[in-house]
Amino acid sequence: MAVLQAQGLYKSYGQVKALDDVNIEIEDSELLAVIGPSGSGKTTLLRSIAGFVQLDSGKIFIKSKDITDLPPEKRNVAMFFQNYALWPHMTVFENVAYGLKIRRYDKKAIREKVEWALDFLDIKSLAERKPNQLSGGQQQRVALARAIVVQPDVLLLDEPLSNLDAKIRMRIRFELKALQKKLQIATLYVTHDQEEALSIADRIAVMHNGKVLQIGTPQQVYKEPVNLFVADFIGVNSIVRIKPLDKDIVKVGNLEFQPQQGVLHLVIRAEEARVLPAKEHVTLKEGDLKLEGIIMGKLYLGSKHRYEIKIHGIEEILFINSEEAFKINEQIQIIIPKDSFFVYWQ
Amino acid sequence: MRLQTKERFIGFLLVLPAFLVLIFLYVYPLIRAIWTSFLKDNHLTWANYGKVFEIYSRDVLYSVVMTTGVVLVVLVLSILLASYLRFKEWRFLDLMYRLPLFIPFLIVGHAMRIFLAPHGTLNNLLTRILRVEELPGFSRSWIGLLWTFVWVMTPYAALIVLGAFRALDSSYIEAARNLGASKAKVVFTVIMPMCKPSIMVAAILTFVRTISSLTIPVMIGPNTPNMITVDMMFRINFFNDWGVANALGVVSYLIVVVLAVYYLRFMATERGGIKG
Ligand SMILES: Nc1ncnc2c1ncn2[C@@H]1O[C@H](COP(=O)(O)OP(=O)(O)OP(=O)(O)O)[C@@H](O)[C@H]1O
Ligand SMILES: [Mg+2]
Repeated sequence: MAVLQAQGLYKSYGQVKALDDVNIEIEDSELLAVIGPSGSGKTTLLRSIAGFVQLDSGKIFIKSKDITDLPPEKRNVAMFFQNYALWPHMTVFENVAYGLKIRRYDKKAIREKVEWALDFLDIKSLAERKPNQLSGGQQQRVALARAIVVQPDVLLLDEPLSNLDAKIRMRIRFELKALQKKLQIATLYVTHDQEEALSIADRIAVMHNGKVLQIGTPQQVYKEPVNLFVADFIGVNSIVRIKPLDKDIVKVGNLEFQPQQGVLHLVIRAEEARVLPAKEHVTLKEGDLKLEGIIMGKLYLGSKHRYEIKIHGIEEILFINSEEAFKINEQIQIIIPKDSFFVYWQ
Repeated sequence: MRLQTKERFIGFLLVLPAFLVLIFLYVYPLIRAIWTSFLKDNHLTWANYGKVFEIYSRDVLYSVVMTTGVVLVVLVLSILLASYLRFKEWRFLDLMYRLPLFIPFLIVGHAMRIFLAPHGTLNNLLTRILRVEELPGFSRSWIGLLWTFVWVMTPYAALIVLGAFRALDSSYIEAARNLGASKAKVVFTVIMPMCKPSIMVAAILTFVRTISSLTIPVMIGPNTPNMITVDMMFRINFFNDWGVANALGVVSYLIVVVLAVYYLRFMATERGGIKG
């Protein structure tokens, strides 16, 4: 049973379509990540579920109840704000207790629940501090405690990790995931970091210009992107564009493609491609792509190199990482497995 | 070392104009006023204060109570207005509430006299609605004075309070609503506490401006009791008695000082408590 259903959401700001026929569902205790470039409508989607955006049309259901016209305070969805939005005049305890006080729990129940939440997030010792006496990471935990303590039907997270530095982000990412699974709370997680989404989501929704282009498991979105945008947005890629001459068959490396309308876009998952010396013999599997080229430049990246590669017969330069060492101007071949490149005509 | 002395001297020169202005326009008159308040027939004496206590203690009390009343009403009104405009954009109201800012006190006083007179606009309306013959005018009563003060002071206070409410990041408000708080609850539990310093400033400015206002009590106020400022004017105009007038001035100044001290202490704890 879906906890949250959003059906046909539309919202425009003047000419800008922030939401353009958005349909999503979140299952019980599922974590749905919404990703997309800046301005694709992620925050607008989240805020419309929380009730802070007046939709042009569409319906939102929580546990089958239509909440489209309810004010924010009647929705029982908890939002986590990017800047945490902890109230500076209240202690950590009071911040976390706020939602419970509003819900008219008695003193004892409030104390128990707040202590449970603080314990859960490992910040019990901070209860009497004010938010300005906390580090960024601690504030984040308080904000989370404040959101989960009211036992919301849906948890909404808007780029929760964007204020933290890269190292901590990696760690907290998994903590968040573990926490969400332990609480079994349906969660909508907005991020523009595709790697973050791939690593923690049960399913991913890719947004662009207010539209949801694809929803699926991380594997589906990564392995079977529905269009060029999704293919390019997910993963680390190199793209080659080829304009067919006349109505000839288009040859790329060892493969041939029937010409269609527009330009051929070849999206290559740079993480999956293998660079080998030109002379080395390889047996290709059916459908694998082999390109031949020459090393134009290289960047040292620690455990590997990033190579700038010119492919014979193609103007664009590819960027591919490899652990093996090649010299500039060395002739090489690139092997790309069948499910690691995608062809689109556009 | 020499350079340092020179730099100090230049620094001194730079602040000198401001310093002189402060001395001549503020410190000197204040000291003069205090000095004069202790003079009677060229003798140092407490006599002026004795007179203040004897004749005017009722007026001092009246001034403080009236001013405090004005501050309370003004605060309630400006918080209501600011809360409304914080949640709802309404251009018309946003412009209208500022209008009194641009009307001189004298004109307000005159307008209110006409409005509140025994046969003025308000009473004409009231007699018609209530179907009675006669109603007393409010123009020479404490009600009229309070009304006029509130009319004049609310826009200033609302300007300050609304400015603070609008400057408050929306996420604080949305976080509260998200957790189930109604708009009214949000105003009391989040917006007002977070804007307390500005609300205090609005209250204190209203207090000082009200207690030191002369035009309005002269034109609207009852003949007795009077605001301190009116008493001062009478003392000077009819008795040429600068001693008692200055003593009255010092008394009203002391009232404001008490407030200022309270305000500074509040700000100190606020800074220590919230901003770290
Ligand atoms: N209140 C608003 N008024 C006008 N335009 C808005 C408003 N809110 C959002 N928009 C527009 O709607 C579009 C979607 O905005 P939104 O904030 O949802 O993007 P986003 O995907 O969250 O981007 P980011 O990754 O930068 O946070 C943008 O083009 C934005 O300019
Ligand atoms: Mg956003």
